[in-house]
Amino acid sequence: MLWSRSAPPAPPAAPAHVPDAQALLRTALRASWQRDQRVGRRRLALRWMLWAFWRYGLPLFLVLTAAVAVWLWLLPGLHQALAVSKQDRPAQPTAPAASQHAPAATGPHETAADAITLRREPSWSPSPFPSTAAGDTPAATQAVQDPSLKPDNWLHSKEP
Amino acid sequence: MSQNPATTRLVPVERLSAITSLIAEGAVFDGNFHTTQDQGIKVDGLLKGNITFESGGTLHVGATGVIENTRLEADYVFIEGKVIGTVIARKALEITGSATLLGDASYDEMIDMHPRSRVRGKIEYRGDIDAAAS
Repeated sequence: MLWSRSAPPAPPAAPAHVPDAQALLRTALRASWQRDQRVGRRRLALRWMLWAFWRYGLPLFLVLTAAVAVWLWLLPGLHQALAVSKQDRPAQPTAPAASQHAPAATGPHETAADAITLRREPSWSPSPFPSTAAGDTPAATQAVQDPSLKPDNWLHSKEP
Repeated sequence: MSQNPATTRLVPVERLSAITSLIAEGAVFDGNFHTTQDQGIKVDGLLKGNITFESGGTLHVGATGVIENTRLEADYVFIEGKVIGTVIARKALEITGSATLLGDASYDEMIDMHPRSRVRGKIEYRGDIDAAAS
């Protein structure tokens, strides 16, 4: 017959599964504990970081800021002082003897470029004066070069 | 999945696992909670009112929980969230580092305050001082 069904009728649907109250409570509590741990850890870390910032971070930041400010404030004056000192410095003698007796470049304003300019050139003529000890000062060298000065032993001379 | 509640140092885990009532996160409960049985309640949402356990009782304020204008009284009180009001713990009171308590707290036996916990109020020991010293 046309009205007859070709397939057997489906069994009635099972009643909706009702979860156990205790199981539901356990599940809800476990989820709540998980959320508590997550939120608690985050909040605790935030509190510790806030404390560390006020305790250590802010003083360190202020000290560094002050140091940078002082450095930037002193830097132009320092550059200017360096430039003035280079301009006021007397010209270096070009004679090899003078360069030989020049003091070592140990001053605070000496640079590598100055050391290069003071280097002795081997092609130059030898010095007319005998080389002195390394401890001689430029003043002593100048005294030897000055013909108007007399040696110290002239006082002991028997000549009138 | 975590099988244990948040790390506790004083409140027994069994007490926190025996919670019978839960105010979920996002929920707002306005009113008083009162019982004469030894039950437990966990507050993850917002509660405005008192919670009183006449005998026994465990109160767990979760990290997301907020209790305002309240008077809490139970045997065990474990605070991870924010409480504004008076807290009375007849046995043990534990305040974690993520907790904020604005109000007075009193306890009869034990108290534990974690570092970084924020408490603004008076802490009072209600037991016998001489008996505790002996």
